[in-house]
Amino acid sequence: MKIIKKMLVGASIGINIGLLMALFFSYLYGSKNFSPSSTTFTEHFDRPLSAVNVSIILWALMGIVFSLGSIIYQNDRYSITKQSVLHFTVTFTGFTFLAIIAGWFPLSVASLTCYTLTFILTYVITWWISMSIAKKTINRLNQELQK
Amino acid sequence: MKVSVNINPNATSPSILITAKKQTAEIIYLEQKIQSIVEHSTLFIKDNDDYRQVSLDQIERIYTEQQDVFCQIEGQRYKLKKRIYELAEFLPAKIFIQISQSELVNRHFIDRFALSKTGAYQVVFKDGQFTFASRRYMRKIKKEDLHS
Repeated sequence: MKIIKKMLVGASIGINIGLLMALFFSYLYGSKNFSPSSTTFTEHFDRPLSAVNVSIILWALMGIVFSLGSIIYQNDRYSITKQSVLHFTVTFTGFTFLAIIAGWFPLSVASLTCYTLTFILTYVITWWISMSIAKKTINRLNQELQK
Repeated sequence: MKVSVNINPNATSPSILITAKKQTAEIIYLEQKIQSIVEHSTLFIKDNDDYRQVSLDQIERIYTEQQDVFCQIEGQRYKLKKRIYELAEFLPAKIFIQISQSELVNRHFIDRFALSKTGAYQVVFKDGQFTFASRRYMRKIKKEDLHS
């Protein structure tokens, strides 16, 4: 039951973010109408309505990838490193797969490499922050122990 | 109500006495509460085939392995009849810290807390051994300690 709830929340947030971003980019590219993704994507469909429909489903799935992934961080038995690596694996695989289907970025080596590096960098930063907070907590606890 | 301790070198064994003008519900409640604390200041452990009583301060750590609950006294382990959640309820929180869902540790037996290279909380004991602590429980302890 908790998983179903998580999936629903994830799907909702995913759709929200996807919609707002598509809206933003539609304005950015000076479109007359709302476009859910790049033309390379929308071209595949018989009519724009289908493209929007499929996009919404993909946005929902992206949201679900992240919300289910967050369950990894709830497992206290895993070290911070293990959690980060597992979460990265799940989200990178799931999200990249969906983003490529959704036509979000060109399939060039350059753009994929840049995207991957940014993804990895984000995880390194959050891992480092988590470790720093953990170290601080340990020091605090050791201080309390001395009292 | 004033609570005080009277140190008398001539006393043989410690006793607790509540002095009041008459017996009220509050006095009865206090008597029962204190009685409960006194009763819970020792535990029964299984030593080979016998059961014997030990005082709480002798216990170094209490942990669950498979389905059994064990306690460690001077490096030796003995079986306990109680479940971890029962022990967590009546053992004094100031002395026995619950570091994970399956382990309680005597504060005085802890040498220090450490963080492993991969970011797992460790509790290092005075005898050199260490065990893993759950981050969730550690955060709870940090919060509670700051209030004491």
